[in-house]
Amino acid sequence: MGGHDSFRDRLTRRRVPVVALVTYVLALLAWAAVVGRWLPMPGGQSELRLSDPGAPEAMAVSNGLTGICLYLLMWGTMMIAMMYPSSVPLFRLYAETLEGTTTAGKVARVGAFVGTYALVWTLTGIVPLVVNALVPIVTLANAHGGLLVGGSLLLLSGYQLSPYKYRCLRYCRSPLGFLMSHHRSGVRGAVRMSWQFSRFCVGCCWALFAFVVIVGSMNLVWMALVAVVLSLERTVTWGEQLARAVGVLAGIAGSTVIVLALV
Amino acid sequence: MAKEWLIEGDYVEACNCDVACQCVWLEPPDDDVCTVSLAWHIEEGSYGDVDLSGVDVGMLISTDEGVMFAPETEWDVVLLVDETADDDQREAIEDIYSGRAGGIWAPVADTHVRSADVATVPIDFSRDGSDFSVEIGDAVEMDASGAVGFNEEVGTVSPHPLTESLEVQTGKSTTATVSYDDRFTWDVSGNNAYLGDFELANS
Repeated sequence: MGGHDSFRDRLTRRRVPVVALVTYVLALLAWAAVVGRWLPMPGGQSELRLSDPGAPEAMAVSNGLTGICLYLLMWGTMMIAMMYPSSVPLFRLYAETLEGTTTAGKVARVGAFVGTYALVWTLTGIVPLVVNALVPIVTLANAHGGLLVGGSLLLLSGYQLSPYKYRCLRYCRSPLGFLMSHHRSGVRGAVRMSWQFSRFCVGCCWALFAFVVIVGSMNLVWMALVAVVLSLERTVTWGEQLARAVGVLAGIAGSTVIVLALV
Repeated sequence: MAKEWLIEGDYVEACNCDVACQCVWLEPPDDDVCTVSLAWHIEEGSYGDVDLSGVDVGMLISTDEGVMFAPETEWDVVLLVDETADDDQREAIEDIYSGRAGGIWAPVADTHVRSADVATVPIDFSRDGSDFSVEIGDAVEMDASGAVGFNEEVGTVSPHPLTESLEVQTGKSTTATVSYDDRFTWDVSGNNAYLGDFELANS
């Protein structure tokens, strides 16, 4: 029965949380880039403020491919800012499975995992662009602001209270559960796992981001609020209750806004 | 300490859940706790330059109430290492299964393991197709067979974390008793078993 103590010692090892630190720094830089307006936006529309509803989308669409690329760059940065902090538990656990691999091997795999996650979220930025190309959000916000905000709140409410939200949130809330059931080896495995995890994440958060787009993609106050909400949903024990509470609140607020707009 | 490892071979587990255990879908287990014995026969394996072929490993897990893989659920674990393993092999098995050497056990140890005990015991592991029989000293007795469905086919479950394909066969235990100490004593015969081939690695 020897070896009991050494076994315990091995479990309680201490080390510098490199992956967590790097992720937090990346998220912080992304916030700084968004808040400090470090990213180039296609100009020429000085009457629009970036934080206005539909403004970044309108600027992107009216500037062709350059505008679209710059918009996606901005959107991706915003996603890193908002999604990376609450993804640290999974990134960290994934890195632990790579113990024993060479440092270069670890960097490649963690990089592939974290990078794929950012890429998938960046690509979701195509959705607001397409929507804006079909129906300019600025025009709609000017003409029917109340109905637009109220409608998106009701959409958010409906989704927050749906079983789909719960199903996705469950994976996001249990990083080890996800890792245990989807773990694959190698760099390709990292990309594949990250792709699957991103899908759950998008499934979990898309309605919150739809609302952010309506109130203004670069509206810092709403960005910060939504980032806090989705981080809490994913990490604290009362996360599921919070998701439902947000659903109920959005429902009440949405109905009120719509009634006020119609009266 | 960069050591790559890969182990593969035969695997069987027997737990308190009805057939089939729902922990793999992140649902709460029957009785809201998990009491499970697991056993591996490493057909082929290596840890750095230590050959692990032929080594048998057992594990007992007893969890707090709640979803097994929910972040706040704590587990007590006993690792049982084949007494025929030499010192290097025993060290390697402890490194791997304690989570020190990466792979899926590293986040498990980090997230869930509250207490871990290790013992060296005689392990007798035999497999005939989807019939498994494992005896671990006086502590564990586990007999399980694949659960056959339509077309006489053994059912499968996915995703399960212990195989490269993420797929194991569904089964049922005829005997699944454990008597290690006060915390680890149970008879969950006639309940869920998962079985088949396994493959685990870091990297």
